[in-house]
Amino acid sequence: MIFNTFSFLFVFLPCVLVLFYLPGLRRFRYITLTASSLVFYGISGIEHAVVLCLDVLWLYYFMTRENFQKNKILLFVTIIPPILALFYYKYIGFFFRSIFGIGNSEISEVFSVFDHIVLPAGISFFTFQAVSFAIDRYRGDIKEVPSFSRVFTFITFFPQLVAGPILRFSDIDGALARLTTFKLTAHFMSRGIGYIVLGLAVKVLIADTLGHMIEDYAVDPGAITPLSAWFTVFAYSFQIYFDFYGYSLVAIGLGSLFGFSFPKNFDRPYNALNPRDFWRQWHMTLSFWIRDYLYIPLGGNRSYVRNILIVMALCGLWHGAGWSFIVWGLYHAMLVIGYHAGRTTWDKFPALVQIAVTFFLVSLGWILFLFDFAQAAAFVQSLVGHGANGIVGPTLVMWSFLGLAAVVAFGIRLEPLAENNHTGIWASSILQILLAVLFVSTLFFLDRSETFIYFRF
Amino acid sequence: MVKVLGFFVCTLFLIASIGYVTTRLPSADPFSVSDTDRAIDLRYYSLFQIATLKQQHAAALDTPYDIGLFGNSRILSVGRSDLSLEKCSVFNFALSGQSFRSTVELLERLAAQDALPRTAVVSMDHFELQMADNPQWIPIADRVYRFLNDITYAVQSDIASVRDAARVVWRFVWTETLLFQQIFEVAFFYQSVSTYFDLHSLEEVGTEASNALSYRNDGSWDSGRPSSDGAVDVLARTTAQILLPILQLDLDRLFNLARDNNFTIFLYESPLHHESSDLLDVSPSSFANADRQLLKAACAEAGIQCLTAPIGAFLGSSGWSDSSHPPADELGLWLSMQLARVDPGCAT
Repeated sequence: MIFNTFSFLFVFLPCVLVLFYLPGLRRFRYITLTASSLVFYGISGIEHAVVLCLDVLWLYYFMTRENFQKNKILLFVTIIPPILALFYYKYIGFFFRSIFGIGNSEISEVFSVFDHIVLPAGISFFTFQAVSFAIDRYRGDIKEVPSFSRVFTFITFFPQLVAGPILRFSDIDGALARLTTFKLTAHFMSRGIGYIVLGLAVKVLIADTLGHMIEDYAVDPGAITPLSAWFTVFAYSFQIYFDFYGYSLVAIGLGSLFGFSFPKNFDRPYNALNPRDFWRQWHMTLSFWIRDYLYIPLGGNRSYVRNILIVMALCGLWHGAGWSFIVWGLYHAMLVIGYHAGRTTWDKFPALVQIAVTFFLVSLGWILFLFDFAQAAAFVQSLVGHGANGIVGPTLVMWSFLGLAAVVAFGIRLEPLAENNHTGIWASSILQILLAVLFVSTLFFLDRSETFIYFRF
Repeated sequence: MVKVLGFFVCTLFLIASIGYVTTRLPSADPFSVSDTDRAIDLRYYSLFQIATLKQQHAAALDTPYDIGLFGNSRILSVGRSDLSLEKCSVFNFALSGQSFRSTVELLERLAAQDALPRTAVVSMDHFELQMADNPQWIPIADRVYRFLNDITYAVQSDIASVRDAARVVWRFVWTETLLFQQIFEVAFFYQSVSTYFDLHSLEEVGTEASNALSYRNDGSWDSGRPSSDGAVDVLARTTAQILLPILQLDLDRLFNLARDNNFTIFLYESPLHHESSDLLDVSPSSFANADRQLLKAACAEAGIQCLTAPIGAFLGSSGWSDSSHPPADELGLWLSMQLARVDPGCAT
C-alpha cells in the first residue's frame, strides 16, 4: 500500500486512527500499530511480511541473550541473517551475473532466474534499522532490553517502514514508552495534517507532474534534442527530490498523528554549498547511519579518501543492485574528495556560485539513477547535441513548471509551514485554507500519481 | 484545535462544492434533437447526470414512450432503428455499468414522475456474470436510505444470513469509495464546471462528439467498442456476488411497481456468445441456478413474462464486442419478435 492513494487516505488511515484512539483499546496500541503495519505491508505480498516478521523475531531472540552486549559473535549471528535476506532479495541476481556472467550469455541465462525475485518494498530500510538496533544494543547505547511489542512496533511502524526515515531506537524510544498513555493534542494533530498535506502536495503536484513531462524523453534518451536532454536532467533532479522529500514529510506527519516525532530527512539539500554538505542535507538519516555504523568503524577521517570511496560505493549499492548505482556512488565520492582537496579555493566563490555548481553536479549524477549505462551513454550524446533529435522539445509551460519547482526547492522552507503552529489568527486561518486547497487539489491528481521512487530501494 | 477544525471545515466545504458542481445538469435536453443520426457527446457527464437527463427527457413528453429499454451496456446500443417496430416510440433508458438494481431504481423514479413507458424491456445480466452493484447515480441520501432498507430486509428475510448482511455493508462502503473518487477526475470536473457556468451550448455538445461513447437521440449509444468478426474470449467462471435476499427484494419492488402502475414488463436474461453459452449454460454454476430459480418463481407468481438463459441460439457469432455484449441489430431483431408477442399496443 502507498500513501498517495484514496484507499490509504480515506480507508486505511482513518480505520487505524479510530482503532488506535478507541478508549477501550488503549492498552492494545502496540498490537494495533503492528497489526496495521503488517496489513499495510502484507497487502502487496504475504511473503514479504513474513520476511519482515522473521527479521524481527530473529533480532529480538538474540539481542535478549544475557551476554549479548560486548559479544561480537552474537552480534554477527544477529545481524547476518537480515543482511543475507537483503542480499538474497536485492543483490543475488546482480552478484551472480557480475561474478560469473560477464561476457558469457549461457551463464547469464542460468542466473537470470534470480532476476525474477520480487524485491520486498523497503527491505533496505528496515534491514538497516534492524542492524542499527542490534549494534546500539551491543554497544550499550540501549541500556534496557525493550519489550518485544515495542521492538516490533519500532521496526514495522508503517509510516517509515518502506522508505524511511531510517530511525534509531533512541529517536522514538520515549514516544514508544508513552504510547499507551498518549493523548492526541491539537499540536500533534495540526502538525500531522501540515506535514501530510504538504508532503502529498509536493509529491503528487510537483514530482509526478515532472515525471509525466519527462517520460517521453526517458523512453528513447538517444533521440532527443539537447534542450530536451537538459530539461530532463533538471526535471528529474527536482522530481527525485520532491518525490522522496514528499514521502519523508508524509512519514513525519503520520508519525505525529500517533505521537511520534521523527527526525527530519532533508534540510534543503539543493541549497548545499558543496558536495559534502549535500550529503549532510540529503537523506540525512541514511548519511548519519553510514557515518555512525560504517564510516567511523572503518577509521573515519584517518583514511579519508579510502573510506569515502568505500562508503559512497556501498551507499550507491544500497540504492540499487547495479553497476550504475555503484558508479553513481563513486561519482559522489569523487565530488566529496574533490571538494575536500580544493575546498580553500571552492569556499572563496560566492555562495550562489557554490550552490549552483553543487546542484549542477548532483543533477548530472542522477542520470545514473534514471538510465542504465547504455541509455546513459546515449543520453549524454543527446546532451552534447549528438542525439537523433526525434522528439519535440519542452514547451514553455514545461519550462515554467520547472521554474516553479526550482522556486519551491531553492526558495521555500516547507517545514515551518508544515509545523502548522502559527498563533496569529490571520496567518493561521490562511494556512488552513491553503492546506485545504492543496489537499483537495492533490486528490484530483491521485489517480495518475506514481509509486514513490525510493520504494524500489 | 481550532486550527484542525478550520482545516477540516475548509476541506469539507471544498469537497462539497465540487460534489455540488458535478451534479449540475446542462440547461438543454440533449435527447430532444430531431436529427436521429446526430451524435451526442456525453462522455464527461456522470452517470447521475445522464440518468437525470434521460428521466427529465421522458418526463417532459406529453405522451409516454411505447417502449423503454432498460439495463446496461448489454442493451444500451440497441436503438430505435434496431427494433423493427415502426409504429412504436422507443427510448433507451439503459445506463452503462449498472446492474438490475439500478433498473428497478430508475423505473421507480420514472413512475414517480409519471414518465413510465407503456412497456419496459428489462435486460438482466446473465446470472453467470453475477453483476450486483448498487446504483451509482442516485443521490447520497437515497443511497443511504437504500442501504438501510437492504440491511433491514437482509436481516428480516428468511433466506438471509449474517454473511449476507456483512456483504451488504461492504458493498455500500465500496460503492461510496468509488463514487468519492469519481468526483476527483480532472476531465470530468472540467466538464462539470463548464456545464455549471453554461459554457457549452447543445450545438457544441453535438459537434464535439466523437465515435467513442456518443449517444443518439433515442437514448442509445455507440459504445465505440470494436466488434469481432467471429471468435471472442470465452467468459471465465466467476464467484457468487448476487445476494438472494437482495434479488428477492428488487424483484418484489419491480413487480409491485408493475402492479401499481399498470405497465407491461418483458424481462430477459441477457445472452452470451455461443462459445461461452456452450460452456456456462450447459453446466451452470449452483449460484446462477439458484438465482434463476428465484427469478422464475417470482415471475410466475407475478404473472410477468421472463425469459432465462440460454436464449442466445438465435444470435450469430459475429458482431459481438465480447462474450456478453451481443450485436445491437441482432438483439434488436430478437427483441422485436418477442415484443410482438407481448403486444405493446403501439400507436393506439
